[in-house]
This record gives sequence, structure tokens and C-alpha cells, in this order.
Amino acid sequence: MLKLNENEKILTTIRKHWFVMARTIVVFVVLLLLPPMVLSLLPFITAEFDQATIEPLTNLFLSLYIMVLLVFLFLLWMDYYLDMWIITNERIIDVEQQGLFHRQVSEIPLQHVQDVTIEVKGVIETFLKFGTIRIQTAGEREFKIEFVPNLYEAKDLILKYTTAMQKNIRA
Amino acid sequence: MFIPILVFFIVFTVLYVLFAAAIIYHLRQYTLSEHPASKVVISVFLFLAALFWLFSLTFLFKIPY
Repeated sequence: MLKLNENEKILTTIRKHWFVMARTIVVFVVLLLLPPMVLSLLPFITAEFDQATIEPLTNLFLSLYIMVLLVFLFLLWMDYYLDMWIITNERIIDVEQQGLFHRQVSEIPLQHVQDVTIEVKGVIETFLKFGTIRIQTAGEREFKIEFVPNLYEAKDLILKYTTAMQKNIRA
Repeated sequence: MFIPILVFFIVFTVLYVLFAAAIIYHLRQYTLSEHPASKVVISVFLFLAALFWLFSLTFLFKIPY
């Protein structure tokens, strides 16, 4: 998947903070609680129907509903897991999975990095220690990654190798 | 009643398998080799999906023919 140049090594891989998936899981749990509410009303709605058919039918659709929730949770996790930034000693690779069969990969050579800004906004980001890194390049493009854990370490790593790369070029 | 439900179940299963296979393909294709988390998640998903599919199959055959 990832082809490294000669002498290039991966320094770190950054994925979004677990809080991103936690929100999805909360929604999943709420959706999982819907069937018991529906099932509690079902006896009143289906009182006049043949219970020998209604009961297995209800259980069948309940099983299928849970399978659907599972596959959508799996899809959202895949989307979360495959979104990443890979920092090597030569470049920053921004990989963004946008659903199925849609993937965007951008690269920023470290020598083109002009400015690195970090932003921590709000109570949740402050206490869970994640935020946004913005990288300004020489071509006036801005790369942004949100929900970055270990923000300061990531920034320091990028700046350390950016500085070293730019010193090598000048020498 | 049973036949339409059976047809629906077969169509659902085919679409589900295709969708799940697409997700697994992406994970196997694009995961970095040193990260084993995807293998664990794939295994858990396949186990749970198979389990609930077997439950649904059991309930399907309890519907009066």
C-alpha cells in the first residue's frame, strides 16, 4: 500500500482520537435500544394476528436489524481506522478514506512545510487532549487534520524533521 | 407468507455478504502491516454477523410454511 523511498522510514502514524469512534458507538447503543421499545408495543398492535407467525417474524427482523447495525458500525470503524497521517523522515502522507471505493492520498514533502499550527478548542478537546494541526506549505496550501491525539508530540516531531530536512537542503 | 420472507432473506444475505466483503477488502488492502487491530475487528465482526445470521435462519424456519 505504502511505498517508501530509499532511506525513508515511518516515524509515526497518527489516527483520529478515540472520541470520534466513541460518539459513533453511543449512537449505535441508542439504536440498539430501539427494538425493546418497539417490542413492548408489539403485543398491542399484533393482538389480532396469528402469534405463531408474528413471533418468529419479529425475532427474524430483530436479528436482521442487529446485523445491519453491526455492518454500519463496521463501515464507520473502517472509515475511522483508514483515515491517517503517516509522518516519515521525508514527507507527510495524508490518507483519507471517504467511504467505500473512494480514497484520497496527499503528500507534503517536509521541505515544503512553512508553518505548523495547533488548535485545541473547547472543554472536551482540552480535557481529552486532542485538537487540530494545520500545516501551511510553500505552495500556500493548508493541510488540516482534526481530532489529533498527542498534539504537541506530533507538532514537535513534524517541526524537528522539517528543520533537519531544510538544514540538509541548505548544506 | 414464508416464501416472500425467504426471498427477502436470500436477497438480504447476498447484499450483506457483498457489503461486508467490500469493507474487509478495504481493510486488508489498506491497513499498514504492523497494525493488528483490523484483524481483531474483522474476526469479531464476522463472528457476530454469523451468529445473528444463524439466529435469523432459525427464526425463519419457525415461520409456518
